[in-house]
Amino acid sequence: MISKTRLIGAVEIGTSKVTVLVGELTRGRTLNIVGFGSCPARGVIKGAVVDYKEASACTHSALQAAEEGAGAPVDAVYLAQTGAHLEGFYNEASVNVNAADNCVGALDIDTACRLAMAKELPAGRAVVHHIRRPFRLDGRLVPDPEHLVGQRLEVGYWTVHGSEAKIGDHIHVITGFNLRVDELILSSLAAGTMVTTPEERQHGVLVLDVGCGTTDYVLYHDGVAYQTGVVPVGGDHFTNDLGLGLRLTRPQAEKLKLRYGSAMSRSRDKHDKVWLNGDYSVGDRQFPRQSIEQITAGRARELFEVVRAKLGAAFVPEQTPVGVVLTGGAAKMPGMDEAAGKVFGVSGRLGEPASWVADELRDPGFSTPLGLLYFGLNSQAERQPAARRSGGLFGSLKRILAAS
Amino acid sequence: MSLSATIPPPSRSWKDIRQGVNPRAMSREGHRRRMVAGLKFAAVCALVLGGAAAAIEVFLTWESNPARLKDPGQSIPLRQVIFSTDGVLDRPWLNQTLALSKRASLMNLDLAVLESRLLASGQVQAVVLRRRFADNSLAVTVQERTPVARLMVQGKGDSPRLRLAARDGMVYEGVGYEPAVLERLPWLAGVQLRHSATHGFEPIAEMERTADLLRAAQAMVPELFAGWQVVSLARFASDQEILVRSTLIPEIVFDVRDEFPRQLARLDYIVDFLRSKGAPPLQRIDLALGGQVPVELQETAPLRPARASPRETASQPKPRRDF
Repeated sequence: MISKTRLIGAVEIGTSKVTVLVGELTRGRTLNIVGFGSCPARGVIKGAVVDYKEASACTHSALQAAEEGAGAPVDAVYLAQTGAHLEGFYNEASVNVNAADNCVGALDIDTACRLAMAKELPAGRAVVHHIRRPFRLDGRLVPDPEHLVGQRLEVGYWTVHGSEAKIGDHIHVITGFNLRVDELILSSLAAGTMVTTPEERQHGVLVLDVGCGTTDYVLYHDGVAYQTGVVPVGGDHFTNDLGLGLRLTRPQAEKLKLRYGSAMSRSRDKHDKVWLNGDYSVGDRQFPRQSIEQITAGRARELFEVVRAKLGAAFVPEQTPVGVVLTGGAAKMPGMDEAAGKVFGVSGRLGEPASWVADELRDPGFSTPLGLLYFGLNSQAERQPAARRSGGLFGSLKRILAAS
Repeated sequence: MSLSATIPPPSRSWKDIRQGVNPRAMSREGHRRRMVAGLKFAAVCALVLGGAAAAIEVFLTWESNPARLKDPGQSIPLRQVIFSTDGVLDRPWLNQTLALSKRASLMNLDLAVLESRLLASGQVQAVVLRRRFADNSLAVTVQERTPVARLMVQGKGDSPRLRLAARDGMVYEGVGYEPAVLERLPWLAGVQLRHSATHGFEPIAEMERTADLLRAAQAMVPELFAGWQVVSLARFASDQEILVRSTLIPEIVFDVRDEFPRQLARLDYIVDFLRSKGAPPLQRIDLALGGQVPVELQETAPLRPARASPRETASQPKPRRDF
């Protein structure tokens, strides 16, 4: 007999830290967060595992802490996937409605979906997500075409794929803890689901998850993810730029970024200076605030411009009325929302999780693991609408007869 | 060719990536978890295999010997037999009657058979047999019959044997009674016994009324009752009379349709009256004529032993007085 309650671990192996949330999933409907674990990441660069032992050690440490918090072992893991190796493409297919009365049947939908998903990938690539866009029946958008009358059914899928080796590295870090990965979910989708409402996704919104090593983005239209992507630029680059520009070590640059970094250059006074440490210690010195802001703002603008360039024609400001929603640890830098708004030509804001999320988990850094649990909870139905089963008594009888 | 046949197979998914990992690549905690999971799996396997083996064993037993399944406590040995009675029967009699083997188990006992063995003695009126699982013992509670008369039984070619008659008419071989107790019981005469398939003889139908007479006499006229030697039912069916022969009066006739206490009161009065008048010993009193009580007195010799037959007594000339 299958247990009605499962403990799911949502794991995000990020560039700066590994975060684990343990969710108690009851009857596949109710979710309670019962455990939390975190550990500074090691052996991970730009979302990719480069040192298996180091990455395993810190991930397992976070998992162990989360299990101790939950008071029970985790049954399975929902794993976030990010990294520059992830790519996506759009493929669509159309079929003529088979029935004589032009009534769309389950077979038509199934055929169209399978055709749209059937595009061969290069060797060494594996599909992470097939994200279906709304159906079109004779050119009109329909969420569910079954039993509607029409002649031509079209459907498209945004397929996200990545390097099989790099995905395998992530998975093996988890299986090294003797756990199984039940769901592999794109970080941007997880975070996007968490910081936007279904209505916002229906109207059109762009979500940017600015992490330490990468920035994940997802563009929503008509309630579905139209386009996703990963830019290998994140908060680390701001630090790096400050270190190079001001001739600082990495820790010093990180400290200045966190204290005085801004995505908008607001300071006009060249003589406005800030101390590196502020404790008059040996080596403590002053830097013009304007210089710091110019460096960080320049990098922020560049980051957003890269994202916009990657989105290309898919991003139309008029079709994105909700604007840009920022999340992730680096999104906490002052002015990021304003800078994003300027670059994309729409309003920008910091994303906030849903009201049911506890106060201690409302930090943007938890958007992805929270979204993993939330997305994983609802993913099955969203991903395969065509593979429906006929319900009721006759459905059961048909299945029994078909099986015999 | 259908359209679905032309659809190429789906691309390789992340789910196709093997999730196994080289044990050497596992962390210490991973190893520990794997060991715990292995132990759990082994425990579940053992449980399932054990359950399956038990199910097969039950099935095979069901096929070969279903009775064994209905007798789950067969292996519990019987430790002791707890005996209680309201009469005179003792443990040796019980052991002999039950005839239990030394290796008898509690659940193997057929209580119905044991009950029938006990009831076959006739002295046992009712019996309750109970298995006591707390101490693996068998509790036997016996309710015995009380004898009201004794009689000698002799079959063809057999020597006469003493038997007892209870109030319900049951004739049985008395076990464990003191000889003095038996000697106080009157002899029963004028009865034709019929063999029974179960308890030796068919119950005597007239015994209940006879027992009423004897009990009333014992209670009301104990001195007279002490001399009662024979109670004859020879005229019970034909004349509704019970004849009693005692050491004091050779023949007393009681009417079974009338109340015995009244008849006994008359008897007691007559005997006292005649004694007070210095009358000769009584030969016969007939209490079966309602208000009239014919009394025959012995003329000469003192009262002869009660063994003299009523017929002989009746042939002698007797003075007759009515009260």
